[in-house]
Amino acid sequence: MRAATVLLAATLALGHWGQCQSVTSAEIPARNLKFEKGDAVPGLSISPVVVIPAQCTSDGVMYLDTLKPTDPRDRTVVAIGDKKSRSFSASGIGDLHDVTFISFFPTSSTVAFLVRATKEASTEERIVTTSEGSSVVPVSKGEYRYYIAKFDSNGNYKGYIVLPPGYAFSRIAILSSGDFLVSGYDGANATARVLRVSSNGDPAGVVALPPPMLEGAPSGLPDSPESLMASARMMSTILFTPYRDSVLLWRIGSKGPILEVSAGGGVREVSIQAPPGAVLADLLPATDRWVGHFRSPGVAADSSSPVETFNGDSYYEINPGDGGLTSRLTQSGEVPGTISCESDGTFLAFETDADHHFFLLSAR
Amino acid sequence: MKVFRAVSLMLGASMLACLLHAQSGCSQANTYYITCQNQPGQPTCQQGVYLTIPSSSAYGINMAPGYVSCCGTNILSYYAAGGCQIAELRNPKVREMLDELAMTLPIRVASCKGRYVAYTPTPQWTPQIQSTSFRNLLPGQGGAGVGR
Repeated sequence: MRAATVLLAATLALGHWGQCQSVTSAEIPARNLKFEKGDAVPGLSISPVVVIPAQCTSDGVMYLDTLKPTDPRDRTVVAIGDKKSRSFSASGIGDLHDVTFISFFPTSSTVAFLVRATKEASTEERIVTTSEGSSVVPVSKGEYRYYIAKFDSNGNYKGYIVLPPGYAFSRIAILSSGDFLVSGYDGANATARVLRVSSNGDPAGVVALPPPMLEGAPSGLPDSPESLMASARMMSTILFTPYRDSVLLWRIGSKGPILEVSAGGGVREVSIQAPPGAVLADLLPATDRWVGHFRSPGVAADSSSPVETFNGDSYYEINPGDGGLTSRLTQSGEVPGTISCESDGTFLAFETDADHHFFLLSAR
Repeated sequence: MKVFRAVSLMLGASMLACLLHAQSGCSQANTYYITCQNQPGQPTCQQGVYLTIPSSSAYGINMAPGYVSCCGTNILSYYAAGGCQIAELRNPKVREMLDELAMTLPIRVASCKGRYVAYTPTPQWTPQIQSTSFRNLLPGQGGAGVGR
């Protein structure tokens, strides 16, 4: 081996990756979560693709929105708890047709699907032309609307309510009063809206969104493909997270604020102290605390690398009162990289293997 | 051997600074450009090489450790070594669908280690640096070989 020198200058070669920046977390106490991996959940074959955020109910059941990689329209919600699993599928909605699953929200007694569908079963043939050519396809004669389809916790379908027209709805949440929150894009006014809807579908109010949650609205022609894409992108970042009897409304990729919507529809806005340079990647469903998953911009993901400690993500407990960071969560043991939720002091995460077995990881 | 250790240690310190901050939000460096030169009395060599350190979002590509030669010193780097073990996700058509889906839906996909990570569109992970950019940027200096 030839001798080489000491002169060694390391610089970042690609602008895509930023510089190391220290988060001033010295005053924030660290709390370690030692994860343990459970056995494979019997009978559950989990998809390698899931839609975030994962949801957890107050009884510690984790719900995942999974999709089939070869057919993204094929979505299944899987509930995992106490080494058992059950599935919820839009195919169980017998009185709606041509159902497209959009999102879902669970509580310990009800699972609600937000879907787009038609009540009309009969179809007519229409010629549809795409870049791949023209083809004749069956299209429903009826009107397509957005619906909330309700299931009990065992997966039995319990009926639907129809949502107001004029919105492209995106996400759903259930308040403990039984009312629903739904986020949707108001195309006529080119803005995002969050509506409160009663359990029978009647409008019950509007949650006013602060300016940071409205950034990114499309500016082009309302029905252009670019505008539709931009509005879908914006709406996909506005998310709901359950917390006690409330629902937290927040935006992925933002530094806050967080809106806490109470069972009666009251709204409290909390500014949060995001770590320097970091934005919210997730706000974990939790029963007794706020837990923020933060990520530095430009850092696309977490720990799939062979360098296990190369993890740009960070987790902090947040004071629900003033939005301050109260503790930094570190991980050890069977480190999952991404934590899904907290339930009565237990943090839950999951992983799979090449055979699609599902493993729950937990830490107290 | 002593000098080799010195090089490794200095590089290690550079990387370690990032690793130490990783838990608290350090941006994840992926490709470093380093320059090396021989000590006085040794045959003249001044060379620059790229080192690839996998970002945590290197989903879908198994990154294997290897070495880049810099003035005769082998320095640890990583190179792409085949697809992810999750079979469905190796299919280019599936990746195309996921690329499109990820534009409007926050999805996570199982990594090669079975951990679910935010999906990163495919093109970002085409590992071209060592075979092309290096030689283009440093003509006449020969490419640093990458081997195991």
